[in-house]
Amino acid sequence: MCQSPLGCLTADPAQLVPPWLPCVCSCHPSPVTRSAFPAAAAMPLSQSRAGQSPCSSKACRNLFGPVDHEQLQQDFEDQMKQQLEEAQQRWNFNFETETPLEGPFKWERVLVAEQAPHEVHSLVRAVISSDSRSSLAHRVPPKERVGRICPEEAQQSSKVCRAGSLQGLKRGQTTIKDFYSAKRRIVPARPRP
Amino acid sequence: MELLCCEVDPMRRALPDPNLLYDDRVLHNLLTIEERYLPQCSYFKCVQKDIQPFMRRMVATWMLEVCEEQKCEEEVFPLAMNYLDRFLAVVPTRKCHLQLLGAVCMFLASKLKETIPLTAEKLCIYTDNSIKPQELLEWELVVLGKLKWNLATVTPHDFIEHILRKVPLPKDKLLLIRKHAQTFIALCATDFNFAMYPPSMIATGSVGAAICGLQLDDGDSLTDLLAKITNTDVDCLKACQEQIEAVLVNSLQQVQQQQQQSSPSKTVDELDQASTPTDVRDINL
Repeated sequence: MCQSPLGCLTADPAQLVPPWLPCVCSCHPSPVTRSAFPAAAAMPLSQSRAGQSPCSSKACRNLFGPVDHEQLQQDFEDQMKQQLEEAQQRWNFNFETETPLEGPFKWERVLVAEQAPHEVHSLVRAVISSDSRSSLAHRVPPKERVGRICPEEAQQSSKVCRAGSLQGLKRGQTTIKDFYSAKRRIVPARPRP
Repeated sequence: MELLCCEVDPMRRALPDPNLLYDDRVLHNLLTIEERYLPQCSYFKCVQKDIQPFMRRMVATWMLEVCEEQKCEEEVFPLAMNYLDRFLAVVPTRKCHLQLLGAVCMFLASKLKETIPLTAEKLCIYTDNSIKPQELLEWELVVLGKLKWNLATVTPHDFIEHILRKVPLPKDKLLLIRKHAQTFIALCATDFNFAMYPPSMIATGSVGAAICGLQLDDGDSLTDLLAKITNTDVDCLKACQEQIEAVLVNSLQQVQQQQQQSSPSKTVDELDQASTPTDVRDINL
């Protein structure tokens, strides 16, 4: 597999990459402090790990000389862009703009009444067309899906909104079986006439 | 009121699960799926331009030292090496980014296998701060994507108990055999020649080498029995075991050279942390 050429980077890196400040001197980066890196500092249990502190250890060494941080950032962006393109092809869905594209999956907007408007647009599902050879098509037989969803839609319309809320999901998903029932209740939550 | 002795391993462990260990279906499933997690090609020939075999050995040795010093679970190191090999088999990587990749792989393997995983900060310190935690986290995402999030790799360690319970062995030696076999597995993970071998073969060869090394075997029947347990070809297994023993001899020689070069007071300490795990020395070849 080849890397994408360095010149073709067009995607906005800010969307893919958390804010990152390039180091001024790539040879001797300053020691990282906890405050400079909140994500790791927030990690639970990190202090209670057994084992000695690495600072004075012989294992603490740089193996292959100075790291080119700018090149590293560039390679990272290329890799992420490539992954995004692969995902876009795989699912025929543009994950950056959250818009469906032409392809084997049909994407439908699913609206959940009680959810805030900004959350609604992310709830979409794939309907697999019958001629699709995607592996998902085997796992979710369309017949079963339709048979399960439709009858419940009528009975559980009042439950739908609550099940869609985060709390409802958390409570429901204690076992795999529960997960499926929770999922079933969300799926029919389409706007009704 | 009873007095409690608190000087125990702080990590609470589950007891061995007989449902998993005494059921042959588990072994069969492991044998069926193990090849899915092997690197796709011998990447020094077809993918990598900048990276040479000796660099893999360097980064592997460093990773093993970090894992030993941080008292990681035995599986963490071989698992991290599996991630590294699988990534290198698909992504051409620069030499100066190889240590970062090694750190990312340890980070992932530790998170998968340990109760208290290694932190990004700690791993960055082990690179002598040549990388930043932020970079580690970013590349974690890249590696995960390239591995297709398939992290639950079958490792040689998964086979050890299944093999040991089927070989008649003196009970008092079991602990030592297991320990030696684990050491051999780590040794194999540092050597690229073993990267494409199925984990079951490495496990079987390591158990064989451990038993032979302790002179507990009774001739050819052991190899035949071992080969049968994991459906390995007898000749392949013999070759694998010989290769493992050769790697051991080789790495013992390296340790001896290091001993001669450095001052005698330091050597014992260094040996504990160096590429050759300690108990290898106890093996009578």
